[in-house]
Amino acid sequence: MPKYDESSLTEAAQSISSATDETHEHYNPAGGSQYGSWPASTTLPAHERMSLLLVKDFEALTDQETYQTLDDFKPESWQIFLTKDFFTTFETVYRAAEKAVETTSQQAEYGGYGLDRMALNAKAVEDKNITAIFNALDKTQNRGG
Amino acid sequence: MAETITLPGDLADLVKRWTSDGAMKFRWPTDDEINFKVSGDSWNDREVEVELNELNPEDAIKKVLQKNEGPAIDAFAKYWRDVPARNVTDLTRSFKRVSAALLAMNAALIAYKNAAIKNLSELKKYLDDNQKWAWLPWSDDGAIHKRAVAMIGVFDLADQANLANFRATMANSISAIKQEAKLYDDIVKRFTPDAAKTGDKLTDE
Repeated sequence: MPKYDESSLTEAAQSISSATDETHEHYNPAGGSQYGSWPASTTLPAHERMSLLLVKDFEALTDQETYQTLDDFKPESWQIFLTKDFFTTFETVYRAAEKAVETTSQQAEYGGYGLDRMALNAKAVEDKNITAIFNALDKTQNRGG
Repeated sequence: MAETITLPGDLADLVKRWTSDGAMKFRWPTDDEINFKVSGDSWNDREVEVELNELNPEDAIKKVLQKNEGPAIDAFAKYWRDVPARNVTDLTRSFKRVSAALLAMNAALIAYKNAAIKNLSELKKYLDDNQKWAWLPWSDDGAIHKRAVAMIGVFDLADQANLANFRATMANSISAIKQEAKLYDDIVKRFTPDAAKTGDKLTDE
């Protein structure tokens, strides 16, 4: 017979939920400031500073000072923009990294949902369903050896 | 924070003058090495690592595995280890490698710009000295110009070697970050609408 300890399940589910909420807020700003409720006046979310097209002085960010564009490096006839190819590649990698973090956050969220569900499953009637779902998720999202 | 390395005015005039007629191949980079420093530091920032690691609250998960038993817990444990926990670990390591590639670009840009400034300063000194001969009555403008162009050729040759070194670092860094992108794409591609539909079944409704 399965054994459930409600408090450890709930505690872990809450820790995960709090972390995934934070990630979601950073990556999916909604309304208000550019970064949701994140205090954009004091600092950018950590991942925003990872862009190469950045505000150098992000500690003093204002609404007008957001990002550079490739045009900021446009050379005159006696100049050259050496790292243009790097910027182009990097931008793709940076966006891919953001998506990978968002995906991982969503995957963690499913883990949290499952723990919550188990916390409510005192009679273990849902065991088979929960087991099947986690097995399916493991199979579809496991990157293998 | 360090200032962006810029070309001093007199050297900029020199480059403008000799590139305008095609005598000089060198071009001053508009790139800002600080972009690479700030971004490189951020990819290895403790705050980024903490934010990622919070997605895998190890102590709380450990307690769950110690205090609970059954097939659902076993399935959760396997999923957690194989998917989110593994992704967090891999992403944390990967971000450090991207950081190293960016900081290598920062160092290469600084080295290239500084070498260019040093070599341009030497070239300017030579050209200034060479130009002094123009004031002498027996000077030959054509010969003076020829000597200047020859010296610019020597400068360009040295610059080409420095530029090749810079480009080699850039090729390595691009290759390194492309390698990391494979991990990111691999994580994302598994999260299909069907996988999401399966995961959503875990919400209480």
